[in-house]
Amino acid sequence: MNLPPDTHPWPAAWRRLTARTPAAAGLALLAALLGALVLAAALLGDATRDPLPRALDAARISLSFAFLAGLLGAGIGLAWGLLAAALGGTAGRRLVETARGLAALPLVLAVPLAGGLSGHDKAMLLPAAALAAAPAVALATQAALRGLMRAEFLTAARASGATGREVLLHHLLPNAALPLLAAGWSALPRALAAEGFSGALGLGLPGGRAGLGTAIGAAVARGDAAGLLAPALLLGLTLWALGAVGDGLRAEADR
Amino acid sequence: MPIPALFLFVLLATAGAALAEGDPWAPALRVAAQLPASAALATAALAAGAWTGARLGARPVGTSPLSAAAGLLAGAGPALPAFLVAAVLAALTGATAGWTAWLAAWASLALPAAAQATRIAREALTERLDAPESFGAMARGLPAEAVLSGRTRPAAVGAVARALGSAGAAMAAGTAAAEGLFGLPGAGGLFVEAARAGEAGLALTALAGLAGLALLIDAAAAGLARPDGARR
Repeated sequence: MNLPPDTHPWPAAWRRLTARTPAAAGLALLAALLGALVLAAALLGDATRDPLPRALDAARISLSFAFLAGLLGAGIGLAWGLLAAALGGTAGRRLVETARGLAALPLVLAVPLAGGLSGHDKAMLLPAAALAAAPAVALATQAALRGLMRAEFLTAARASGATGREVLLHHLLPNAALPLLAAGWSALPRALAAEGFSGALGLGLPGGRAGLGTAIGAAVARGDAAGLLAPALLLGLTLWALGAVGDGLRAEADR
Repeated sequence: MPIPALFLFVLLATAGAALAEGDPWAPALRVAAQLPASAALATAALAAGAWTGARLGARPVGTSPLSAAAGLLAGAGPALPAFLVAAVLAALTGATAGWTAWLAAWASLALPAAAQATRIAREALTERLDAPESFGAMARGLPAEAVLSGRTRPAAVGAVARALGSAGAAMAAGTAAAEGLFGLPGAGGLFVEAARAGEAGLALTALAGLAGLALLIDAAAAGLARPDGARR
């Protein structure tokens, strides 16, 4: 099907997303932060002792951690939600109820626990952060798919004689992509917050060149309010930007 | 998973963690003795935050300083997780004991709760104001203030009350951060202390206690929200 360029779903969704002021500001902030991280790594190297470049270095480590843990958490959550929607019935309901029950627990505490018991081992912190984010992603995925399965356009496509494969490839998947992206995106701020949370308590990524949370925890331990400023500001702004983009994606998915 | 099943899970986890220790009851007793302090801190902060947020968010969007403060608070919410506010206040005040530390810990939990409540109340208010019933009421000659006070504000406050039913996990995690950073007594402080020392049994018992606290907050808040839903 050849649509006019301005009616293709992805460019149209992008235009609507960037028309939302908070989402556009969030995207601009994330782009600026990523640019600053690349520039700081290229121009300043590792030798600097200034607070801002050190905070940018910590932000790079935190964002890498959040990206990996978020990706893993989103993958687990999406698979969980898709399985619940595909199974349906009692088995699907049980999977959803399990996700709902786990999401009601303070799972983020598993991250500092893993950090403390493993001696700040990244190999333990990363899956803990991913698993803490997964149930919420699973719930959002299942809710989005449940809404889509009842959509009138699917009934219309089936009534018009489309095969199951055609319905899946041409109708369900293109329309499910944005809601699934919105559901998966929520794992990113959760993983970043989990790193910040455990690091601030001194139970996060190992010391030396560590993440924003560890830098915050070290500044608190020293009683160094000035040293806290840059990492706290960077973490707060990044969380805000990720949240604003996530809100925009959810609003677009709910349209 | 229903709340009773989760309670059972938490109780079993506590018992398992206690049995893993040499002295099976010592960690459980320590956590049980510290849990009321955490519960008091979390519920006091949640109540204050939700009340302030509902009041601020249920105000009509305008140019008054209070409305601007509400907009700022609602917008900044995602940038203000409890652990970050607690870290900033801990570094600024240097408080590690006494009333200053309790007050700072309370504020670091109440501020994110207020931001979240303001945002929820604002969204509910806008949604209800845009609804056909509100336009219909105004078209029938009902003053805008009467529509606000009679129809939209109760909806905003009701939305905050319902959202409290899922605030338990965030409050329990925030309490652990606040108690850990301010060195306060409580199950959260015990959890952080045990995790730092690598004491698995005590840390798991404290974690189970905090999970129970989260479920209790959710159940209590859901109970409070139900009469509002029934009235409407």
